[in-house]
Formats: sequence, structure tokens, C-alpha cells
Amino acid sequence: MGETPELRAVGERIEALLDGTAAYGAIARERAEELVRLVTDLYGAGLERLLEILHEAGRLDSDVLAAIAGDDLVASLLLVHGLHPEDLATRVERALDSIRPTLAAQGADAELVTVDGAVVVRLGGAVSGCGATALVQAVEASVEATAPDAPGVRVELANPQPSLIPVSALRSRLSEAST
Amino acid sequence: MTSWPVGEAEAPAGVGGPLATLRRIAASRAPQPGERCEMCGETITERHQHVVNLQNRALMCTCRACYLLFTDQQAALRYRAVPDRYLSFPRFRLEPSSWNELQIPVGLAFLFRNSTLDRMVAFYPGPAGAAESELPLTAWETIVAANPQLELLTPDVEALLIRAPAKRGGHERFDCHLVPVDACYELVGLLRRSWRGFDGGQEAHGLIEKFFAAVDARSRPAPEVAT
Repeated sequence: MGETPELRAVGERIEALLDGTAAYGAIARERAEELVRLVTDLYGAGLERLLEILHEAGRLDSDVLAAIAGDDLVASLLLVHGLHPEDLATRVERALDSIRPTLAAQGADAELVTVDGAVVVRLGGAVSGCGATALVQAVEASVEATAPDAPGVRVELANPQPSLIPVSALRSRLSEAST
Repeated sequence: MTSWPVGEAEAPAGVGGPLATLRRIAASRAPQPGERCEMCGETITERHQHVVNLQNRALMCTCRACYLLFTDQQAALRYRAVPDRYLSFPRFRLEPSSWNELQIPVGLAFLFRNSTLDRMVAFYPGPAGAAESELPLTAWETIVAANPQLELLTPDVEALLIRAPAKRGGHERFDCHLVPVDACYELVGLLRRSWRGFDGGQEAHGLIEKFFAAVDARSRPAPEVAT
């Protein structure tokens, strides 16, 4: 899954700093957000202009677009401004492609069902029990990173298995009964 | 396929991603600031209370929490919360000669004690807002001597709103209410927008009638004071 850890750390740090300004009152918080908004809008306008210049020069061919879309940092910033060259479905497919080797190692596969409304992905193959939960979370995280503009992500299991009662739960029931 | 709750209205927000905060801020527009507490910046509703700054006499709009910090009228503080007390004085007596001494050119005035100057001050409404009238000390003492209940007035935050008898019809005697000082400034603001000519004109007089009816409805008779 191609998400640079620094990117997430920066995102979390921005959020923590903004939340911290709330300690100085509602006005401080709003001013901090306005500051971020002004800077973000400025760079967003710059990115848009940059893409326009490339397009006008005829340099925005499919190779360049693929390189842009494949770069996590650039793609994330373009997504902030709604400038990503690929549509939602293409980006979700890209996310699924990146995670397929991990899924295949556990005998599972993922298939995009729809991007109409929420993104729905069906997880097929040999998935069950606790292993399925980890796979579902991995798919969700991967799709959310490349499609943060989706209103929701849902992963369905193609063959839902009856869930087994974990041993720990059994133990606690036994200890409750014995006391 | 099971149904999935999709918030159509929140569609642009998305699920997040690493730069979720930036996405949210970039997608949102600057909020239209509503009215705010002038002390802490909390947003407040149109109906809110006020605090008087004793140094520059300014009224500050406040949230409930900040208002409650300054309700002690004896505290040695720079601010005073404006209370919500309305009193009527059914037996209020004022001789036309005493009113003339107040040198109020229009039939309406409000008086309050300025504790910083340690004297009574009188204001009357006009086209440019509240105008101050030089209040002769003896004039005020004469009025209080005739109406001991006026001593109930709290300095800085409460005012006596006095209306002279109407020239033709209407009420026949001087009318006096004890009101929060912010109510007087509200009246001044109302009148400034509608004041025409020297005496205010018909629209202003209609507003004054309505304002006094509202004050009357909120007032209870002032308690007796020991003389």
C-alpha cells in the first residue's frame, strides 16, 4: 500500500495543532483555520495553474498523468483540491491493485462493486474469522487513502461465515459461572 | 447488497485520508461570523446580556458565563453586569418646573448615576444618538426628595426613564420607570434611525409609545423604601 508515513504524520500534526488553538478560544481556532485555508487555497490555485500550463503545452499525456497519480504526495495534495486526474472508480481500482498481493497471500481477492454513493468492495475467496477482519481493515485503509473524497467505504464478505465464539469469551463465561 | 447509509449532504467531506483536515478546510468556506461575546469570543444569540465597562462607559455584548462574572455590584471591578430589573413608580411626582430644570429639549430622558464621576447624568435621544444634558445637582436632589423610591437605582447599570406628559391627548403626567441601562441605548438606537426634525416626528413618537408599552408590561411596582 503506497502511503508515505510522513504524509499521515503531517496530517495528524496539522489536526493536533488546529485542535490546540481551540484552547485559546473560538476566535483563535477560526483564525487558525482561516490561515490554513488561505495558504491551502493559494497552493491549490498554483497546482491547478500548473496542470493547466502542462495541458496547454500538450505535455499532460497519459504517462505523465499516470506518474502524477502514482505519486502519493502529489496525488494526496491534488485530492485536497479536487484536482486528481483520475476518477473515483479508477483510484479505487488502483488501491485494490496495490493491496492484491497481500490479499492473494491469504487466498483472498477484492473486487470493486460500485462507487455510486459509498464505495463498495466485495472481498472474496478464503476469508473467515479473525483473519477476515484484518483483511477488511487493510482494504478499507487502502481505499480511504486513494479515495478520501468517497462519502464512505464498505467492504462486504462474499461468503459470510458464521463467526466462532473466541476462546477468551468462553473462559470468561466459565469463570463467571464458577464464582 | 445490504443498504449503506450515505449522507448525500456530506458527500464532499469524504472519508478522510492522510490529509483529511486539509481536505475539510479546503472544502469549507470561511464561516460568516455571527454576534460574539466581546469578552471571550463565544458566539451568542441576538438575545444576550450586557456588561458596562465603567472606564469608557461602553456596553459590551456578553455570553451568559462572562455576564455572571460581573454581577456583584459592589466588587472593585472594571465591569458591571446590567441586571434585568424593570420597576414602575405609580406615585411618581415631578413638577413641570423641576423637569424644566433638567434642560431636556425633548419629552424624554434617561438618568443614571455614573459612579466614576460620582454624579447623576442625564441623556436624551436625538438624531445623533444619545445627547448628554448638564444635570444641575439640585434638580436631581429635588426629584429624589419627592420620590424616595428612586434611591433603588443601582449605579452605572440601571437608569430612570422619564417621559414628559403628551402635549395633546395620551398620558397626562410624568411617567417614570427604572430600566436596565442597555434598554435605554436600545431605545436611542431605535429612535436614531427614525428621528425626523427637532422633536422626532410621528414615526419616532409611535416607537416611543410602543417601547413604553413594552416597558410597562415588564415592570412591577417599585417596593416602598424606608424614609
